[in-house]
Amino acid sequence: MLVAGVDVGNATTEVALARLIPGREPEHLSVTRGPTTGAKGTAESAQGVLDLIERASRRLGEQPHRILLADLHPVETGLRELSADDTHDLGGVGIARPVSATPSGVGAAAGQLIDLEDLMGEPLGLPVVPIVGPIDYDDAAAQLNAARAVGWNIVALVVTGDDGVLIGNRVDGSLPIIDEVADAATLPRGAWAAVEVAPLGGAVTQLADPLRLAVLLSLDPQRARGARNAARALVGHRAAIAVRREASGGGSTREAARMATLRDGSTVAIDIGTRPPGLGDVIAVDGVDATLLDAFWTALPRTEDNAALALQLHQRRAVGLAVLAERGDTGLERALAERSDAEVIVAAAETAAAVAGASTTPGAGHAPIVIDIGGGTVDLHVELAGGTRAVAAAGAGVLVDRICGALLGIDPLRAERAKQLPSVHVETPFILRHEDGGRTFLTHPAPAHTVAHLCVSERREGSLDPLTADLAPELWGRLRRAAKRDVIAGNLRRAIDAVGGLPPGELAILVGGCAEDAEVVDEVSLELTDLDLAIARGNVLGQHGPRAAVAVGLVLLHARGA
Amino acid sequence: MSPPTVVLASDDAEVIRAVAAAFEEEAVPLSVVAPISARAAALRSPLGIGIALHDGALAIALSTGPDVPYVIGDDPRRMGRFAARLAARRPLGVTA
Repeated sequence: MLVAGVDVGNATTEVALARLIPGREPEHLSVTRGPTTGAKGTAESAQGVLDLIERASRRLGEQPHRILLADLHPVETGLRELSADDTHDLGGVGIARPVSATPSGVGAAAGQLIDLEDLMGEPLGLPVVPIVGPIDYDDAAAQLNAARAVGWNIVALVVTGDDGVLIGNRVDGSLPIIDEVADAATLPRGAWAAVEVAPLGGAVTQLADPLRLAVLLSLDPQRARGARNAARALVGHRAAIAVRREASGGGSTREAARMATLRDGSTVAIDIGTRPPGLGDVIAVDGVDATLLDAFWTALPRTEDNAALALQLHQRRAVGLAVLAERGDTGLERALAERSDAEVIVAAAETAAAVAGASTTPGAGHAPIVIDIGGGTVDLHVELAGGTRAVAAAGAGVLVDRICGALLGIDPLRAERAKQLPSVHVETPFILRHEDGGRTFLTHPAPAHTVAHLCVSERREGSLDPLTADLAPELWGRLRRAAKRDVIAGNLRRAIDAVGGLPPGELAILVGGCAEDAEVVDEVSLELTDLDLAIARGNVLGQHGPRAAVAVGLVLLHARGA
Repeated sequence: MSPPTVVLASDDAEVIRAVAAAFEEEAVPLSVVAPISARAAALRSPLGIGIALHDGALAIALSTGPDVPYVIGDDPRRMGRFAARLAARRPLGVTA
């Protein structure tokens, strides 16, 4: 009889085909893998299963008689930036942070915003900050010099185009000039404004300090306190402008975090300052319409390498959340039964299947501890003399994807690659700098759009995917590993606590898609050093690596029970 | 001692003004020579970067690697910015 062991994961579906003959060991014929279609366990996810079975069956010229499924629990994973919903009253201070890499001059100054054309009249007798529109830099410089000659006190400039240095060189090289201010047209003429340009490699200090900002904008002490949000928003920027507007309170309304309800009836906020409780303690989360088996959340990783970046990450209030829900329907089973001639059987729990599959790793014998790290959950299965325990903790590879995506500002698909692959900085068309500081010298130049960018690097293909995030590869590598440590290793610790600990000296086998990632294996090994375990990566059937443990395990368990 | 420069090979005053403006804005030194190929200009550049007319457009060439233009475009200010940023190791702002 031909059977298909099917593991529908949150990200990947795997199918193991095998022939079962009573009294003999199963004959394993193939393992195929593809992306999960739709949400795990739903009718939509049947399509991916049927496609894989069709692909494998075509090679064999035979359809399976039985489809073996695991008892599934879908995981929902998301990341929300609470700060996006916060409202910060800037205390009557408007701000702009030009993106230009080439401002001119150094220092901070404040004056009244006026148009360049207004310099044709009599000097105002107070410091002014002219706004230069899209005109030729020589013409602009001539008008500015003429105005200075008749007594205008020009203390800084705002330039619409990328001409800041050109104008500075023709007027006054020390004058703070910010350029590429796209929304210069909307700046309120007549308002008092402060402009600051930091030295190359530096960041604004006057405008990022609420008291100094208040002095520059002539705000009274009460309004200085209200300017804290504006000052905070300018931290880490090389050039900036702040404009005094109508007075306001300067208060902040923080978006309320979602609440998690625990088994004992108490509640806890899902926020960057709280930690998820023990495995299985959360039974409900605001906005999630399902009975929960577990919930896990974590903030973006912290960095101590760069204070400005650390502050920016903190201010985002980003929380990644994964919830493991009780299944409300049997959509997958019904869809498979309707669309296939095979008999559909729920053969075992996912973790029991993972143990059976992991135990086919050469040299393992019976694997008493199996850690299955997939897209949605970290599953821990323990079969020791004292009994059998199996737990599934919400939050694994997909949650790491979400965090990597939030750190780099990219979509989940690119984030998954950024999670798995090393990064490089393209220093010149011919030199790549790696995360360990090493260099590669190319014989063919890297594409122009990758130069000076952090790039995800596909070693085998040699392709480079440039990212807009301004991070050194060394720092990104540390943040990426921290995300894996926070989610996967942290969650595994919750799972171990839930089963009452693990005996020292035992063998623990890592399986699942994430176990292919050497960094995950390193972080897990580091997290569990106090337990003195022998941690090894699975190699299912001696040929599939840590993949397909559940699919193969379903076949084995079914054969033993058949 | 003269500073390391990118070499622009052109005798077109408008092109020279626009490219030179881009280099001044990026604070990258530029030297101008009589028209030669972009590759030849790159070979003369201590920074290994040359700019010249190529098939009716402007080409940025590198002194090493394959003898083909690295970037081609029509707008001299924009091409000057790309070449200057290439020398300064700043993102060029080009798309794939």
